[in-house]
Amino acid sequence: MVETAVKFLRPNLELLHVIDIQSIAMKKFDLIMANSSIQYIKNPIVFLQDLVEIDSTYLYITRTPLSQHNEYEFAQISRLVDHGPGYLKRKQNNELVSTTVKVLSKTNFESILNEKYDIKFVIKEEDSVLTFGNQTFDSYGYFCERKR
Amino acid sequence: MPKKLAKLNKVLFTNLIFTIKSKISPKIILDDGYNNQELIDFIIKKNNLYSLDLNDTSQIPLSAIRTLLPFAVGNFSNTVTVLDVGGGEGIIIMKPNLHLKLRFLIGPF
Repeated sequence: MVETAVKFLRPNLELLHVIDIQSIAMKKFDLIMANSSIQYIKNPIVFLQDLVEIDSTYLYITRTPLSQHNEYEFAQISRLVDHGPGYLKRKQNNELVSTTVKVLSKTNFESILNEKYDIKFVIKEEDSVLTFGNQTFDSYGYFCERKR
Repeated sequence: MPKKLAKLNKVLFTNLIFTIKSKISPKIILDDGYNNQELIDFIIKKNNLYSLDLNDTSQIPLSAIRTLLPFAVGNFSNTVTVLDVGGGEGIIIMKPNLHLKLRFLIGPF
């Protein structure tokens, strides 16, 4: 996605694209936003820990499915056209794609955030946004402020 | 969407946008539509934070409420540096007045 964005977006000196978190680890950020992305990362726990270590003033995570106890990994089947705006050939409109999704436990997720952040509020955003077998997962939003 | 809810959303968005404009005056471009009742409920609870501007008939879609929330509740200066973890519904928040100095998009996804 990052490579595609770089290819198609007009050059903008204020908009940079990087493919790993280490390359920007020394930068200062006011806000980190993660909108429906952490669950699609190969190792979301390590990634979340890295995000927390960046030490941004605020951390905003939204549209993230979490489980009440265990962690789950499964294939999410969805239509390609539902993945967002972009050019698709007509025959691709109903094409199904499989994406690996990893659902963290809410307790574990929050304990990582709590290492450096105060969770200012949590919102249960949607019920049953993902289903795996007889398990359903709700999605959550977190707005956090770095501890002083 | 029921008309009443649509009207309510419009008011809430207007309030939210107004607040953000008054704080950091961004030019905001958003895509995708999204509705989220609990987030809207949150905004209602926090409604005293927002000034009402019904004259603003912004066409910003409902997904804005989710995306713009941190800018409304956070305490930012007029230069905001954002790290956007790629994925999700896209937003682009750039220039001219927001002064998002850098907006990193990281992946790969």
